This record gives sequence, structure tokens and C-alpha cells, in this order.
Amino acid sequence: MPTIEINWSKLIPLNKENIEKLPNTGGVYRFSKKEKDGHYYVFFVGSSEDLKEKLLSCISDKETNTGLRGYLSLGGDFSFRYALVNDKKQQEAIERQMYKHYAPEYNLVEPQCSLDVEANLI
Amino acid sequence: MTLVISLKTKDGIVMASDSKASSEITSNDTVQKIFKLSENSAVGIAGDGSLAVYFLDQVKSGLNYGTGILDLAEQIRVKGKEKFNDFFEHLVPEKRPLLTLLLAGYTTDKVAEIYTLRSTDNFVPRKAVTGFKCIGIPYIAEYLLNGLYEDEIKLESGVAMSALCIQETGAQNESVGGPTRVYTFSSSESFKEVSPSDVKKLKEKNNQFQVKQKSRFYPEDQDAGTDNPVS
Repeated sequence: MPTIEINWSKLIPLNKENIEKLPNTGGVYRFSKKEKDGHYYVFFVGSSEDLKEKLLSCISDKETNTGLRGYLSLGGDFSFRYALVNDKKQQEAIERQMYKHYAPEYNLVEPQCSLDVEANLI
Repeated sequence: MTLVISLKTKDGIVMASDSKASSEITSNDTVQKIFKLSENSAVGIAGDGSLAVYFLDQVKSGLNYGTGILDLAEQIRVKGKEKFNDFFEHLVPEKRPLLTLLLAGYTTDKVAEIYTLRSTDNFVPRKAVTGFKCIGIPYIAEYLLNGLYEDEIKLESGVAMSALCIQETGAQNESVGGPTRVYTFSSSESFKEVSPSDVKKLKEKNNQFQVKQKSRFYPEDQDAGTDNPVS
């Protein structure tokens, strides 16, 4: 399977101020929460052609994934990590790869993708 | 083989089973393994399917259901031993087929109890000391229930938990399979089956449970990544 190298951000606290700093370009992202053992566990992954707009939507009251919205509303030490990926099919392929790797609790359906590529997840 | 589970909840008793039958000459996924005895008692069977059904038909007739579950277990022991010896008097005990019953119901004081009765044990009723019991291929289900079950569980959660146990066992052992059948009853609510569509929804929900377990093994590397990623 072809592989692509992508450049991941550090873990960033998930809040509006930090999301506002993101570009309005395409990419992939994942959300995690710090648990009592000190580790951050991934609970949601995604991709978008506009990272900033998408992530702002995710943390807003307009988020249509009610499970995700409810989980975020509970509060806690949430973080996110992102990588810039311009090609939409590559975005979808990496989102699916993350879905399979992390099995995130709040992704309700497996992302569909026609492209078979793999990226580094960190 | 088979998996039959019975567990006590705050609001009633749950009984659940797979539906798979297999032997050297037959295999299908539509076998009933749990049978209503009265409105407030039921029995699950593990063992040779046709023998189990015939045995139960023979044993059920003439049972008195009004004297509590322990007395019912004792009646089944007496009749079961007699019938089994009739069926297999030509065979020494170690050559006889195995049959295990999982009996659940209420005492005359409306206390839920679960018993196992085994042909190898002359059907002596053994009371479950935990709030649950599994027969057939119990190992995965008992592992899960030991970790998940609490006395305070509600009926609907008990239904979900029993479905999970059968789902997980079926995923690991091909002898357990076919549609999951789940039944509930209490001292005041009659024996009834949970609809297949509701069981299907529970299984989908259980997939999320499995998913949550996996993510626990892949925490984020907190030191990895760059401040300004580029595409």
C-alpha cells in the first residue's frame, strides 16, 4: 500500500482560541481527552477541507453528532492534533486509517474512502 | 455447543442464549434453547438439542409451579434423574450424553434464584452464588460478567449485558452463533421475549463498548508533533 508522510501538530488544548489560529485549509484531526492515568485517549477523528471551520463547528452547539456534543459539554482536559493535507481523497483515507487504529468512541460510522494509502499517525 | 446465560437484575431475571446447533450430521441457527416453564420461571438447556427438547417435554408434564423455584428445581431433579436413567439405562454413566439445565425463577417470597442441574450430577440443583450463571461455553461470558455485573443492575442493562456476552463469545467461538434470543420475567411481569429488532440495536450499541476498549490501548504521544505543521 502506498504511504504518505504527513506533518502532525503537537497536542493542542481544544478551545476556540486555539482553533481560530488554524488555517482555512484541508487536513485531518483527532480529539483526545486526558484521563486519570495522565494519558490522552483519542475519542474522535475527522477530516475536512476547511479545518478551522470544521473544528469550530465541532465545539459549537450546532455539532450534529449528539454523542460528541454531549461528551464535550461534560468538560475535561480536551486536546486535539491536526495535520495539513490538501487532497480530499487522502484526507478521507487518513481519517479511515485513524478510525481503524484508534477506534474512537464518538465516530459513529466507519468513514468510506476509495483511496488506499497509509500515513504516519504521529 | 451453546451459551445460555441467566442473570438477576433489580427488576427481574434475564435469560439469553445463542441459537446455533451443530453436530456431525446437522447444523442450523434457529434452535430454541430457553423455554418458559411458568409466567415467572424458565429453563435453558445446553447439550444435544433433540435430546434436550424431548427430555424437557418429558420432565415438564405434571410439574407444580406454585411452590417456589427451589421446590421446582427439586421436582425437576427427581423427574430428570428418573427419565435420564430410563433413556440411558443401557449406558454406563460416563458414556451418557451431557445435559445441563439453567433454571431461573422466584421463591414463594419473590426472591430471584438461579440453579444449574447437570445430568452428570443426577440433576442435583446447584444454586448460583453470584447473581448470574452461564452454561454451555461459559468462559468468555463469565469473564465479562465477573468484571461488569453488579447486583444493582437494571433489567434493560442486564438485557444488554447478556447480549454482549453472547456476542463476544460468538465472535471468539464458532460453536456459539445464530440470532441471540433474550427473555425477561419477574415475580410480577410475565415471561416475554425481547424483540429481535431491539436485540439488534443492543448489539450495535455493544460494538461501541468494544470500540471504547480498543482506544484505551493507544494513548496519544504527548511529546510528538510540531508547533507549525506543514502540508
